Amino acid sequence: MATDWYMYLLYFLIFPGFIFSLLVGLLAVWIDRKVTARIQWRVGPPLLQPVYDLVKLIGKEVLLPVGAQPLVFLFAPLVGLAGAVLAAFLLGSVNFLQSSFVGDLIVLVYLLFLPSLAIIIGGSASGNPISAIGSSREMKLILAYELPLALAVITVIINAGFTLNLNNIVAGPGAASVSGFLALLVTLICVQAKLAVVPFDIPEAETEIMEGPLVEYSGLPLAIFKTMEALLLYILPLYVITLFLGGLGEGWWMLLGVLKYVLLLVIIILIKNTNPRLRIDQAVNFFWTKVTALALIAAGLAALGEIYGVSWL
Amino acid sequence: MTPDNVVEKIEEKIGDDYLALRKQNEKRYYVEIEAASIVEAVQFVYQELEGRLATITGRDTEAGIQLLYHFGFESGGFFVTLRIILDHESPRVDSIHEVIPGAAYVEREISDFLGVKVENISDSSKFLKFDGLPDDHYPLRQGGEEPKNE
Amino acid sequence: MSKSPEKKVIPFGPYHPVLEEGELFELTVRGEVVEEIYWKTGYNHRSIETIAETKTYDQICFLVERICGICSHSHPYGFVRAVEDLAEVEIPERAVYIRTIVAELERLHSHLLWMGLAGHFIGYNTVFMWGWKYREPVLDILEEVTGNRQHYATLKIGGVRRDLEESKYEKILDMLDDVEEKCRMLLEAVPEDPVLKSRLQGVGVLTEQEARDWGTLGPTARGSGYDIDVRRDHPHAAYDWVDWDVCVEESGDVYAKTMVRLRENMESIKIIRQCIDQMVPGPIENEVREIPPGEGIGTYGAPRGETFHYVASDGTNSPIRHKVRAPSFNNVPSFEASCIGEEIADVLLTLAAVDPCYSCTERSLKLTPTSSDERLLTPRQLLEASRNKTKELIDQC
Repeated sequence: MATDWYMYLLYFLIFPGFIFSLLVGLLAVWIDRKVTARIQWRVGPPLLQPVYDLVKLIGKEVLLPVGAQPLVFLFAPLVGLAGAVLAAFLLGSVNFLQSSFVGDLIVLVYLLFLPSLAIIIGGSASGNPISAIGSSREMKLILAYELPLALAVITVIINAGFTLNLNNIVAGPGAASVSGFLALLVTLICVQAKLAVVPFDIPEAETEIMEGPLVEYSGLPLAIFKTMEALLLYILPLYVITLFLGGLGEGWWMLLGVLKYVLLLVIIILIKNTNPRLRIDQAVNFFWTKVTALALIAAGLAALGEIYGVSWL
Repeated sequence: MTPDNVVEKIEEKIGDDYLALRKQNEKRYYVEIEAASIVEAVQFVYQELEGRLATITGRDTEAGIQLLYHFGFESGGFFVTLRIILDHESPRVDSIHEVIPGAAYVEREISDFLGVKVENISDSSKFLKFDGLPDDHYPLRQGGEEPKNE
Repeated sequence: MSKSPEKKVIPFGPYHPVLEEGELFELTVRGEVVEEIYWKTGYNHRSIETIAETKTYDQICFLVERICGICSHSHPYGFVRAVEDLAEVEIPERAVYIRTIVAELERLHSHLLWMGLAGHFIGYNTVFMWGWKYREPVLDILEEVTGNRQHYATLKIGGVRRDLEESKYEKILDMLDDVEEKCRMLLEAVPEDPVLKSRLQGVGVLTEQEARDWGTLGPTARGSGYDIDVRRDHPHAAYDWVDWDVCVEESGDVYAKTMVRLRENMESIKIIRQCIDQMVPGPIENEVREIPPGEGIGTYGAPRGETFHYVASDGTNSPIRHKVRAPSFNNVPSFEASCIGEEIADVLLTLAAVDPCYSCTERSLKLTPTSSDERLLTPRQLLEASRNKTKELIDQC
């Protein structure tokens, strides 16, 4: 493992950091759009369409709404992107470089929170009533899903023998126990909400509030948000793989890892295409009762298993 | 129920304000009444005779601005239309939206297009008329001058 | 939370993804709850009513067909019924059957189209695409029957324009089997989808009395338990000669309106089958030479409700007054009863559930005559006007 500073820069910017994750993310966006199209009896876009879209957006004029706070409005996408890139870098180093440090799991959980925060801040700063509604919906949604998501992380920590180190967690039992499996289910549902796709695309509901917080964004800032969303499509399945499915693996095992990733992506896409959008109160209700209960059971089972030394719990 | 019953009852109800009857055919009757008693008549037809207000048609004719309140009767499959005639100079009529809330929008249409002043209307702002047209230009009035720019 | 959230005005329209046409709904919301709605139309002026006064009766059939792309059989039907009422014309039996077949095919395609759009509005794009795919064979049948997928140009005063050849019956019935299978699948799938039901049930409830007071008709009224169907109550076309049921649901929510439409699909297929079975040979039109002076009212049970046409004639070859009332004009205002107090997501769904058609609603403004071109705006003036309007709106906020 090289220790020179420029190597770190290289890791961060190119592999497994920004450029690499962006490419995978854009590929994931394309898979999403293509599979969705096939499900809906459409043809779907060509492979490079997500790239064209980004390039087009970057070339567009940046409009500042009259009522907006320019600094916050323009800064928010950068905060979100920074969070997403750091999370991608962290997960990438664990999976590709086997480099990790104590407590990186906590850092990761916080970093994953940044994109949603950026959307809230950006939406509120734009001064548009529709964005304001979108931001408040995003906030409610975060309040709804963060608790079960954290409980699932706690379950994983307990199962892996009270470690906060991602490398140890990859080596841990993951979903191979009752509690681990329940936590995996909870996380998958929360990932759907974190990605803000159907049935939880409530903050962006385009037929109600026209992309909500993003309604005033244009040009480069919008491109940054879109990049961030593409990155999330790479990060969140990888997060699930790292925590529950034993990581991407090394050498030839990595092919299996890629398979895991594609499988998760397809599950996300399928859920997205076979459900209507919920109302915000229905979504909050769903997370606070059913999902949280499931997560509590998982954490409780894990704790019991730990206390009594029953490994299958 | 037959159209004859309906017309008979209307005549009984409003007495002298009943002016004339025209039978287009056995399922389409047109009853002309005094404009002043329109609310009373509509209330009677809607609530007692269970007629359904299909719509209100406004017509600019030589005799004056005619308003036709078309009532459909599902029980017999016929229409009875109440006709009132307003004078050209200051056409005004009472609103019936308190009896039939759904009529508010068609009353606004008539006020927009024909310049009939509907008293006690639920909302007097423009509804169907293009904002750029002058306030005193009524598109469905016959003749008259073309509107000037702005 | 002790402090109640402040009121905000959210404009939906004039251009908004949920409204395919120019239309303004201003929702006054507190948090997510809608407290007041202001409806403004007037963005689609085509002066249909005034143009009608300058056309001959035959030409008006084509004109009113263009009021709406979806109801392009309903409006001419309302119009020819008004004129036939005025001139007391008898329609040959064969023509009546052909009219009914086209009418019911139109109902099928309109309901499937609505089904798809409703899916889109609640973010269920798969339903959107599938609904529209299922609608395609219906359009194919329409092409088979009338020669056109849209704007069928079938109706004329006194009959129909184009005969339906007997050699086509079998093909049409075959295609209908295919459509029936798809419609049955939808009818069975919707009540079984728990997520869909949780999204549609109890949303935007319109009681029977409210449905009556706001003058609603069609699926909007029948979903509220208001047992009314122009097809049955004002007999026309072949509806008296075939066996069919009026579909009524009691609950008055969006789910009920959906179910009414899905069930009507099956009834429509039943009606078309019977019409083809009972079809008699004979002429397809009675020539109408003269339209006497008088007044005529035509009412027709369109897919969305009742199309109402009033025609006044002075004995010449064009009417002196032609009034059009589209179904949406009566159905849309029912939002005042069904939407207040609901959440934004539900309000938009409820607005969409009446299957609104705005360009039908506003058909009539007389355009300024172009004897002088003063009223024509240059692109720059238009831009200026739109900017001023935006500034005004911002100032109001």
